[in-house]
Amino acid sequence: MNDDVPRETVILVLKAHGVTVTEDGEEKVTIIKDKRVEVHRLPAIVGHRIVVGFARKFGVPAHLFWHPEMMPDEIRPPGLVPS
Amino acid sequence: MPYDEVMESNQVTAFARHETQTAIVGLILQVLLARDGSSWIAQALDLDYATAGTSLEDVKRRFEMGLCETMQIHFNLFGNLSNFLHRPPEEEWQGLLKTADAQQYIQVSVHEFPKRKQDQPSPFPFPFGGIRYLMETMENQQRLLWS
Repeated sequence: MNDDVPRETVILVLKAHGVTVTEDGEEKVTIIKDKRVEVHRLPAIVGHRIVVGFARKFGVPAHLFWHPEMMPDEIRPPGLVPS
Repeated sequence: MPYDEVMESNQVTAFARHETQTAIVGLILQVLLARDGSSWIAQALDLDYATAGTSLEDVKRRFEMGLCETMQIHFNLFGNLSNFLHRPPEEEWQGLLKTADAQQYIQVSVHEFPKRKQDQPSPFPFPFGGIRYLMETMENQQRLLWS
């Protein structure tokens, strides 16, 4: 079972949940929510443990990183087909 | 020379001076390295910070750069590291110790950040005491669990 998540999906789900995510260059990502601030050099594929850590730190339901189409209508980005 | 700020959190000690607009931070961190699916994870044991990489060397590079930049942005936004110097939940790194593909040897390396030339801005705004990487091993499990 491959639990890796593409970097773009990680960013999409975080943003949909009100987390401020700014990208600078190919890999630098700054993630801000309230007083939780982290800068990462994220690779194209992000492993399971890092994703679960992001979910905890930034208050995002973890399963949505693997199933972003399950996001509620009010926050689901256009183009994602609901499951 | 007195520091404006001295913060200690178990293994982490940070010193900061604000009056000169520079921050001198000294950290000695224990960082656990492990496989995470098809990638690698570097998880600090003393700071709630972890990052991913594509290989062992790659995850070290990303960890060092991301950590430096995270501390810099904390100084920029908050003027200190008080929102950052927290330990990760134990269950997060304890789980790493149980990874099936734990490597059976210890690797310890200390990374000094390069000295910058006078006309060259440093990608690392302040020096570290070093980063001590620990490969997950049976020996480490025993040491961490019994210490």
